[in-house]
Amino acid sequence: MNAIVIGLNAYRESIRRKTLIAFLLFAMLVIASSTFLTVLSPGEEVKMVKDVCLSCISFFGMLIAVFTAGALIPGEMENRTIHTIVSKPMKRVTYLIGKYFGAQLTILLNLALMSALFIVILFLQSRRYIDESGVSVSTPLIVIGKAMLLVYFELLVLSALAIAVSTMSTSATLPVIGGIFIYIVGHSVDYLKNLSEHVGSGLMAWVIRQFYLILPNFSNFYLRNQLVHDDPYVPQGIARLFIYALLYAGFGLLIAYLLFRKRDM
Amino acid sequence: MPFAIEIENLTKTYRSLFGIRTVTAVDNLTLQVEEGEVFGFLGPNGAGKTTTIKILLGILFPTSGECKLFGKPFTSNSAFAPETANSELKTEIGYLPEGPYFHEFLTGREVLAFYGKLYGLRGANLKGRIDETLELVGMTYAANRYVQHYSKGMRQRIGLGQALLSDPKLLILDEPTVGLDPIARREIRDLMLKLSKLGKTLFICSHELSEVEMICDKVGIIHRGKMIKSGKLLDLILKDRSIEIDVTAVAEELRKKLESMQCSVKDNEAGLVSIRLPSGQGIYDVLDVLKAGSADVIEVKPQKETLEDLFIRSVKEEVA
Repeated sequence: MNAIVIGLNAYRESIRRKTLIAFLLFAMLVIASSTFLTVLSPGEEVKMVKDVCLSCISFFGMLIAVFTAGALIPGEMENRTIHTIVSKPMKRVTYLIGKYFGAQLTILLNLALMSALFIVILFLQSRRYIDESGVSVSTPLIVIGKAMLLVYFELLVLSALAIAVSTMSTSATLPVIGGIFIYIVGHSVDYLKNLSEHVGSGLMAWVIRQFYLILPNFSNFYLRNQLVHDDPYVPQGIARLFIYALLYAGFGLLIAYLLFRKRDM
Repeated sequence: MPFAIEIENLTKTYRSLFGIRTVTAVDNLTLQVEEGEVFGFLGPNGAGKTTTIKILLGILFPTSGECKLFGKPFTSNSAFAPETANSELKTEIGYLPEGPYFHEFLTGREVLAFYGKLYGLRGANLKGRIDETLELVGMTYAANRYVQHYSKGMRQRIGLGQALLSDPKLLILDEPTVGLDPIARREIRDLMLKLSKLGKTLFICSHELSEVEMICDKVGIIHRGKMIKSGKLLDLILKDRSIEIDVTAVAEELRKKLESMQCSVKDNEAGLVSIRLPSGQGIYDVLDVLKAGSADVIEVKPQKETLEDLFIRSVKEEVA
């Protein structure tokens, strides 16, 4: 129960943070202006909107997740609020779970707002195309829903890993940089596999392969092709990807707990 | 009856990242605080007071030693010990940190509601406790204002309020009156006395020695992590008590006689002569000598050492 109290408080704190509001506004601006970018690819306007919006939601979602999850604990350490909280009858694991829960509420709110604008922009842009082709409106909606769900799964993992890094830090800088690094590497995991196969040194190939095996593969959560082609089929399966995300998030939170349980504050 | 606080051979050493440099903040500290006692924990800046308090609250972990609260082990330095086997004990502790900081986006009432929920209070019970506490700390009038608009004194009161929410048996207060105006200081001091009368154990860490002297039963002085003096306040300050007698004038013969009795005789700035009796010298013997010497006694002043004198002397002795 205390985790919910901590979580709701963390959510109230996060949604007031100017950095996050700025990210959200900028993301909304990019999504809204994606229709103007369609002049760059005549004949592929809808595809262009989908591409730009999905990339924008994924990128700004990452920034919001990393800045939310990475800053919650160091922020309270910096202003020493954590001292009064930890001295209350509550285990540290409850505090961690509460912060993670608060970060999820913030991420979900931001994702919902970006998704809603994306849907509005997409339907304004594709109205003519749908009218002409007679394609059902519900198909793109299902694909958009799945794409956004998978973006959230990715942020679920990323926020857990950012919280794990934040438990080692007294400022938000390290978790933010760490989170962005994990995001970039997580989207390049397939390249790591290719690299390990082509690199000359055996040891280097082994090291790169271990990274490939350990790091979450975020490209699994990126439904660009399905979204562009209005194809609701997800080869890996939503349920399997959810379990995959939960395992990585659980691993991140376990690391966070192990680092945090005996940490001096 | 078990002690409210029992610290045994507590040591806290901070190490740099690679363990090259170490700083011992608390060095083999031992102290006991009985239930219902008001204990003043004193020391210069960097003496290890706040570190000790943080270990007591489970915010820091000791390098070695043990802390017990109400007879139960509270903190352990073992990496494999249950994270906080002391969660229940924490309902018995209220903590006011130095310069308390709260989430600025909450009102005073919301701050108390947040902390009250962490104590497991809910519904009407929570609301009742918040109202009582706001009344107790004199913050009812500003309960619905945002914390960001609070003055330092108001934050201090809300800080005290969150410490009192669970009606704890033990209150750990780190600099409770620092930065407050004289009126607020007096009110907080009265509140502490009131809490003491209600049977609460108060562990007060403060630099305001006159305040501590007014409310504490026992004091402990810590310097460079070590306890250099502890005991009942009256025992400590009366141990070096002497008496000073002011008289109008002293003839040379009388002066020599007094000096032969180990009295210090000095002219003071008020144009009188001050005669300071050594510790253990009977006052009536000296008064008899003064009467025989026809000296007019103006004032007899017991020279009690103040806590400030005791503190400065203890620290200087330790440094020497």
